[in-house]
Amino acid sequence: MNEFLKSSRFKILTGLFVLLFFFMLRAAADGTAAPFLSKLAGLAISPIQSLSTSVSQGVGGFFDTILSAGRLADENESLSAEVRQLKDQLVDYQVIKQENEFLKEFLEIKEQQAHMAMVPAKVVGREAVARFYGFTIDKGSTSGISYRDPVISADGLVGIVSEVGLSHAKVTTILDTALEVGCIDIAVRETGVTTGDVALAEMGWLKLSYLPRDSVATPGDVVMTTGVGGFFPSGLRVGSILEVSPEEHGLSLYAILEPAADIRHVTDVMVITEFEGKATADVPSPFSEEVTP
Amino acid sequence: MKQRYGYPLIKYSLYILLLCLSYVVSSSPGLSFKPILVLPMVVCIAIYEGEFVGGLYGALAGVLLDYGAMTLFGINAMLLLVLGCAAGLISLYLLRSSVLSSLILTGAVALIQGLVSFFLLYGIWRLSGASMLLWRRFLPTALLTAITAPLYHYGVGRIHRHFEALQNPTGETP
Repeated sequence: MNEFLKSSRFKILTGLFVLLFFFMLRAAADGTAAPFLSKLAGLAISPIQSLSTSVSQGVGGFFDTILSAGRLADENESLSAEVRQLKDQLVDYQVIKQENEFLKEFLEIKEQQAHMAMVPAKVVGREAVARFYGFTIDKGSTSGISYRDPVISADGLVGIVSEVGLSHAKVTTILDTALEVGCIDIAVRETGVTTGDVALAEMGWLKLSYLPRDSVATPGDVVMTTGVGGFFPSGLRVGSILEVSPEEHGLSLYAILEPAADIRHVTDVMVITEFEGKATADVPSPFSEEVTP
Repeated sequence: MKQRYGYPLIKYSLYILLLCLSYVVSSSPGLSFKPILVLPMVVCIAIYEGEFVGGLYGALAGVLLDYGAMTLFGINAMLLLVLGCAAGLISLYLLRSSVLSSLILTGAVALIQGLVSFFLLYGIWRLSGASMLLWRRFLPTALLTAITAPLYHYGVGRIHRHFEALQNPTGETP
């Protein structure tokens, strides 16, 4: 043992340790961008991860089709019933649509999709014990992605970019306790703030806090982003209310939300790089705490 | 010249390739519950190649984990440098090179890495209910990681012996 401690090999390992410590300090000082070593690792790993993801999705899809034939038959039957039900509901659709147009005009809610610039990305990495199901995508700063860009799926809001490399970016999900999103219950026009909760995140749910004590929000209400703060465009679907309960302090209510996007299993996302009302860099961060300790 | 530099270069490059593949497989988004495969790889390299190489590959494996993790960059690299080096020293002075040694050392490394990750991701923020995650996600992952150790012990052992034989065909010690 003493021989090793006096050897040049030990000195090299100590030197490497000090170098890594320096990189860590640099990362701590500048947490927004991936440090040099991370960018280097990203350049080497991202292409392999993209390839591996494509292969595993292809193989997984093939076996899923075979293994879930019975389930698909049941699903087909229930979907047929749902289609019949939806056809009945279609009768009411035109009336609601006209009413919706009127309300939008009344509340001056603008359709913002036309002003959005989006970059499609694939989820290429999910760590075994990732913090609140955070993940890595295959697009980085070279594709125009920057820190704090919102990330959505076809179903709704997924999270926000918390670190950017050249060819990869890390996404903090809305299930994370560090991320707060200003939201509105569109049925009753009541606002609140969504944030993660350890126990709820395990079920894929999150919490909508600060609802008024006399709130009339009910299960099934759809919750969308308000756009206040400038980190998320307004009108992005966040999820729907499962349950409304009073907070322990009794001053307000909170709701349990089921996210519209399947955050724990999402494979394809869109990163919104530009949108109307986007915050400038000097606006306080949407993270209630630093994401990286 | 080829025996002295060529074969070790191929061997160490092969280890790097396997390490990267192990990382890609264990970070694949398709699997919801998976082992951290770079850990048994580092432990087995440390057992067969010694504490110095174990430390270097530990640092490399840590950089890969840091690349995908939500923790501060460099934490896993420093931790695995120390653990890789320690695994090499323990196998040299305390344990024989065997499947059981790989299993024990991988279990210990996975447990320490899991506890440190848990502390940095959840513990440090004192999130309510976080201890549940330790039992439901971190410890089962460490256990699953340890179970994969025999596979790596066999694989890395085969590579090590193959290149030993190529470098030293007569079996003489230099």
